[in-house]
Amino acid sequence: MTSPLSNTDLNVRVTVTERNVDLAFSVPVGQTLALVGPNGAGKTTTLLALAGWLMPDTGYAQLADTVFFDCPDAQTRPKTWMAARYRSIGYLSQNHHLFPHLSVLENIMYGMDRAGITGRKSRKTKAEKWLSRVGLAGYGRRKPAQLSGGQAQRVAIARVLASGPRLVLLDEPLAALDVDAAPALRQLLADVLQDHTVVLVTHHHDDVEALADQVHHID
Amino acid sequence: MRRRFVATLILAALALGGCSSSTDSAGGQEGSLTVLAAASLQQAFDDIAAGFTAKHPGMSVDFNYAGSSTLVQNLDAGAPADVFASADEANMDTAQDAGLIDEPTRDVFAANTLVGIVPLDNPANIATLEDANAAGVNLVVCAPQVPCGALSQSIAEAAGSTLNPVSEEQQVSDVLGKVRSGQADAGLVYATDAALAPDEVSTFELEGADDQHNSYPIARTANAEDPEAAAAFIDYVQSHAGQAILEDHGFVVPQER
Amino acid sequence: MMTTKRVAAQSRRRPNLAAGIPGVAVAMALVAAAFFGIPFIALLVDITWSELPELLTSRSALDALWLSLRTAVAATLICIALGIPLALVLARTEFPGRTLTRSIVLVPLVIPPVVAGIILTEAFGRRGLLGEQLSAFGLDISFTTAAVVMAQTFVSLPFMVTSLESHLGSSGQHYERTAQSLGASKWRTFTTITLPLLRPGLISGTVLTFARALGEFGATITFAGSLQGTTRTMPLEIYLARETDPDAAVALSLVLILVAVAVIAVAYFRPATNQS
Repeated sequence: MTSPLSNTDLNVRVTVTERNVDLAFSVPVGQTLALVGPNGAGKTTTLLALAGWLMPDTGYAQLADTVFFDCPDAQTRPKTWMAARYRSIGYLSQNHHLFPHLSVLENIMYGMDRAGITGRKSRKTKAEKWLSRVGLAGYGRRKPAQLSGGQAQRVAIARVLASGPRLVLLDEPLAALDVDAAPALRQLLADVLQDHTVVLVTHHHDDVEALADQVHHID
Repeated sequence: MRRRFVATLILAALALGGCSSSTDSAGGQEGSLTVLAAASLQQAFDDIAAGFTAKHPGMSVDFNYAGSSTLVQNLDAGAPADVFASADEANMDTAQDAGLIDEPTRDVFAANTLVGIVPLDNPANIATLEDANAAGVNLVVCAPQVPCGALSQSIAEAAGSTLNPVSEEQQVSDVLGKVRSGQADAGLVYATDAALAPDEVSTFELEGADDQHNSYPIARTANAEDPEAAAAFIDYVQSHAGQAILEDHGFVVPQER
Repeated sequence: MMTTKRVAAQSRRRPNLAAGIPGVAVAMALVAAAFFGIPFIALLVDITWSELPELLTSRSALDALWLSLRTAVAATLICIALGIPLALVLARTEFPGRTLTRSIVLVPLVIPPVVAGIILTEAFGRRGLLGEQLSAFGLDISFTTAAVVMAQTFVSLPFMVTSLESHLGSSGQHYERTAQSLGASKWRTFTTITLPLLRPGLISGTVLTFARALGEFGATITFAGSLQGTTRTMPLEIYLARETDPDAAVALSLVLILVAVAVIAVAYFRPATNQS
């Protein structure tokens, strides 16, 4: 267990033996790190561990003074394991997972409690602002089933960011979009993620170009 | 004593069965017989069938035991049967009115009386019908729509009391079952049913039960496939041997003709 | 000439062509439909319609109908309250003995209802495992309306659980995970995400449960007994009516069938819409 490089960075270390995963990296706060490597190298595994949905054999993740998990040893219980719902970590994959029974606006409003926005009226206003920000003003009343793939992913981005996360995880966010829709969304991501701490998993060189401040190669 | 006598009779019949120089004209018959009989006759008729087939080695008997009214409905719907034995006259009347039986062959062959039963330890301390009808006692009887239940009603009326059951079962065996398991504090069943579980229930007499009974008639069906065999069976039921078996099981048998 | 043809082509609607079903399957489906349909038709033909009002408004018939409705509704509500948590636990958690638990929960589906009544008596009857303790406190369940509800709940719960479980199994947990990633507590996730998404499974489960509870016979008569107004539900009343008044039995059967059909129709009613 080495001491963290800086206590305002995101420091991550993860091993999962049965999946042959063993990686470690750091990201300064406010910057975007791209995780690049072949399939099966453990990129998604790492993101899932950070999000709180997978317990690694050994690992450590910490951002500023918050320790998300500390698993020194595969045989014993973790020293620390923060439940996913407390981590304030946003997660977006290629599936938008918009709640099908809620409207676009309600989807975006869902996580706002955590961002400290209370009161239905202020939440609604904020959500409308986000909707405009992602270029979908006026779409608030629609249901996810009525959106195209690209539109749904925009709403998903708004939803994640509207909840005020301290860390954003992106797992190939543009992979399910058609070639025409991707560039616009890439540009949108670059815009809205500017001041966020982001870990991005991607295969596309274009994504790295547009979004990443640093790149970590996994072999 | 009776049982041993009947058993000896059956064994003797079996032993002699091989060389059938029987005086019975129906000896040497072959075939199978279908008998529809009220559920309360099951144990007695199974024994009677054993005696009957011992006497007529070529014959076999198939039984269909059910509630009397169900049997009448089955006959009406065309169920194949040679003999019908009912738990009361009312159901046999229904069958007769519908032309389902051969009227001249109809005769009463046994009667059943009711008796009160309680679980072996008698937790509610029941000794009379009045006790059984008291509030707070879990009394289970047959529903008035079935022969056993009609009889319960008449006995209660004759004794000047009103039945106060917590459940009206459709089959006497269910009444017996609930008392045996201790779910019920008391029940009214046929004497023949009480005799089935002497180690699990105690009995108490019902006032005036001796004067009230269900007469069990038997008759050949109108569409009997084997009318001679049917007649032979009915004869056997009413013979010494048959009547002895019925009495053994707790039925009341008619006086000698 | 060309112009006319084009106009004609535009005005003709273009329905989607389905892949179709082989003729043999259609024939078999007709046979199946006949198998179901003929008994109902026979029932309708057999009824003496003029006698119907009299038969159906007798005291015993009305008592039975009212008893059936309120016990079936109570049993269904209990099945919803118990079935949702049970289905969730069975579908979404891992614990030793899960397969065994699921098997036990489904047992009432395969045993004869009378057997269900027998084991309920073993547990809750006067001398039953729990029943004896309850009796000591003066709580006697047998022969009460509560016993009817218990019997109905026991045989209907598996329908609710299987309906929900199959629904839960196919949808996975991504929505729940998403909700929690957005900061929702377990309870909030359950009420705002899991439950609403469960609605289709819940509706079909409720219909099946209610129908099964309404038609319950064997367990009721064995565990709860049969007394007008207290425990004699419609099926028991029909069974009893057969003894002396087969016409009444047929009329009551019709009522039971109509109630069941009404419930199913209401639950599954989907107005024809033009939605894609």
